[in-house]
Amino acid sequence: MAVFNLRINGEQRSVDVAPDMPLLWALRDHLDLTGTKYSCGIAFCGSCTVLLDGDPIRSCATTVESIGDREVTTIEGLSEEGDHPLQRAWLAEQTPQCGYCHPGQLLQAKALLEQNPHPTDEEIDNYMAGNLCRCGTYQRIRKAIRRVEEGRI
Amino acid sequence: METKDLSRRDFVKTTGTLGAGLVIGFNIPWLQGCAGPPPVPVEGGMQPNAWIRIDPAGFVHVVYDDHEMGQGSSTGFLMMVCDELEADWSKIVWEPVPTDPSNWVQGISTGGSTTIRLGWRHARNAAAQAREVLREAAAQRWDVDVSECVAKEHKITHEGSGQSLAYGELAEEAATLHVPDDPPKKSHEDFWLIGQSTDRLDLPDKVVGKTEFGMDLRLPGMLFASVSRPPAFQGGIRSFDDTAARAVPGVVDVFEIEGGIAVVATDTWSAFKGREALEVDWDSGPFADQSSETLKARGRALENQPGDVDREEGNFDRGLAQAAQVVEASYDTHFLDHAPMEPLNATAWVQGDRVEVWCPTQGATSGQRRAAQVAGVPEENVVYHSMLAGGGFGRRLNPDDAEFAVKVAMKVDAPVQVVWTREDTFAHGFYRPYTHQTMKAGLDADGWPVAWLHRIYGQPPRGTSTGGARNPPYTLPNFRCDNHLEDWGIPIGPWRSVGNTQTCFAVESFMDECAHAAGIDPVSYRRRLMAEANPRLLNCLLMAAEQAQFGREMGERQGQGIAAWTCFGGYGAMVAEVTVASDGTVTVDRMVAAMDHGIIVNPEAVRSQIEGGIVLSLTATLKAEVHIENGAAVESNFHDHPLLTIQEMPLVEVHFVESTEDAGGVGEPPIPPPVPAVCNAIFAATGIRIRELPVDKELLRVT
Repeated sequence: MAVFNLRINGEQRSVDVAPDMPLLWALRDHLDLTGTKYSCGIAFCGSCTVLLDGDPIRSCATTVESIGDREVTTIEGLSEEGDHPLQRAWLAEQTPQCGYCHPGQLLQAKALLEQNPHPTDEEIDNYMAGNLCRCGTYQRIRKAIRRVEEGRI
Repeated sequence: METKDLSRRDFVKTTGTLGAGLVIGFNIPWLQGCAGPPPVPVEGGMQPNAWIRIDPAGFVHVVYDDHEMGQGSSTGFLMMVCDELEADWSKIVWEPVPTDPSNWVQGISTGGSTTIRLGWRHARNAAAQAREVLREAAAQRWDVDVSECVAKEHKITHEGSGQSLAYGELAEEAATLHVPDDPPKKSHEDFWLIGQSTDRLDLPDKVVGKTEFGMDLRLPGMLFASVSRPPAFQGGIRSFDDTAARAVPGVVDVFEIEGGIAVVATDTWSAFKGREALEVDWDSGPFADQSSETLKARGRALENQPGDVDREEGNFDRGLAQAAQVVEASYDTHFLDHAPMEPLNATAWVQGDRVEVWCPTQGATSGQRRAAQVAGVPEENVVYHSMLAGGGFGRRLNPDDAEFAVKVAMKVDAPVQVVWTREDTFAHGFYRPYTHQTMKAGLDADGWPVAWLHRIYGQPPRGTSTGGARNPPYTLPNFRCDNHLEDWGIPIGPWRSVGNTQTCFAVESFMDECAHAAGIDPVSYRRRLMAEANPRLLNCLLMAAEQAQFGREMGERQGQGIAAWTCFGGYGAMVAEVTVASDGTVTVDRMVAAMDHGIIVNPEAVRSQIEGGIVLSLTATLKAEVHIENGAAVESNFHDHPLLTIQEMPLVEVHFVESTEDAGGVGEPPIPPPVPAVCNAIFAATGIRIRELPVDKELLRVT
């Protein structure tokens, strides 16, 4: 065990965990940030996506000791009031069904629009392809991203 | 949102007491053939399993017993109550699933696309009862005739004087009045909320990460556990060494339970790590020689032997003897896992003879029962919290999640969350069963069926393997459906649309083959055979064909395919448009769905179910398979059991047939048609029939 000081959602948080613990489990089981989801554990589905200095990473396959002083953004930190344009667009399109993969989908989409404010359809699909949804909400994810891209929110 | 958890006992107790307001209890009956335990017969009058309570502050609390796992029916159910009651939508309160199923008049279980279609009459009737006693209460207060009292916008208004009283102000008085059994219900022209797309109540929390799924439960002092189980079905443990597991930091205990070895730790990761460090000598169990390949061979060996007759009308053999032409083909469907994004899990806390369970479930009654059996306590000693689930698709009807949580919790002096890894979830599934289906038709000189055989090799129970086969939506003289059902020892279970994805694939592919053999286009062929047998489905068929411009010119190695099916109270026809690359890769470009679900309560939520159902179905058609080898599942995670990605998402268009029929099922009806629609489109594009799933691109390769 070792103590790590992490910057998460604009706050300084410290955890005392095994250095090789994936960030996912430090968030969920030690920092009470359960919005980040476990689903595959092998960086294959995107449910555990968080942002590290704005870049999407799979927190199930990223160790706590590798984070350093980079800023971690989880779904709880996407906006203070839950009103980020993507969150509003997600509701406008009634996007989630079970909702389990959507914290990861939203953070992946945020990174997409930060890097590429006006993506083509193909660019959206390529960037979001690693975020699986068993309920099949992909068409609504596309539309919701497009809404934000076009400023219709 | 207020979430005070009221059990049925509380409700019965509070009825008529001061401060409770108006309580209307009603019964939503169990549907024969649907998931869950049948009702316990009761003596005497109606036994409620749902309530509407209007409190003195005017909030309308709706208690009923269906689980929410993403299908959105909770919002639809409350919409039905709100519209009929003439209530204010913002004052409707969605109450949790009751926590003592043993005290419930019938099994608590959600499946079979039943929430809306069973609620349709009963929930609206109860809401109408509440509305009528509120009107009566107002009439008495004002000493006017009840016919002058109008219910609208959460209040009763007197037409003559214009004075009004809010529902909350009338609730106590209304509670003392006689409740009419069968009050008049609103005509569909007067619905103002039913039929209007309404934002789902569960979504705001879901986009901010606040939704508490089963795995998100956190309790003071709780521990976490992972259970290592024999990889083979009904396998066992010969011996194990836990020295290394116990040395993992965070691991607090390791012990054997029935069916596995539990590693308990202070967090999930440490439990997983400890579990990986176990050294176990597994017994490979009684089904070690079982595999997908042996089943395929067995199914083929039986395809010409008559099976147990499920339904026969006329005489198939005699009909066949008169045929001018015989068409025959066999189809295989594969094992599939439900693979909900939230892996299975449950949390349990055993304190003496009291047990508390928190589980993201579709079946609270079976969960509570299993928990009680495992713990050896009466059912009513188990408090069973039904949590929101990250997908279900039928998997969470089985209570093995609660079972393992209780087994572990019995040896731990704290609440313990047992988390299945994704690999556990794949290895210990209740899969959609393998089937081998033989279709044989005799056609007359004009190409129309005069004899029809559908023979299914599968595993019992019958419905899980053969659902939908005995009543195809066509007029088919000399019809015979028979089955060879053998117990393979492989755990199977209901998989969204239960049997119908398998049987619709065979019937609707074969219907295309017959149309082709007859030289008649697939829409005209179905149209004639469906006209009398299923007019509602025919409407869907024609609408789908029209919307997709079925038969229009397509590019090279592109094709359209059509299929139609009805199940669980819904009707749907779909046209698939595909492009088949020279390497055999199939791209589904567009899916056009024409659906009849009767009156549609929440259109946008229904569209979403259909879009998503198509995705689930395309994954089953093109990508995912669970192989069985050595009596165990081979696939273990999303790398070898891929799901459709957003890159492969076709354009989906959903059209509704206008209907004034009662609201029907939604969750399951869109699942079966995409499978044969895509395969028929592949035939149109390439001339190659797909008779085995998932589609093998090697069959379609030209380079």
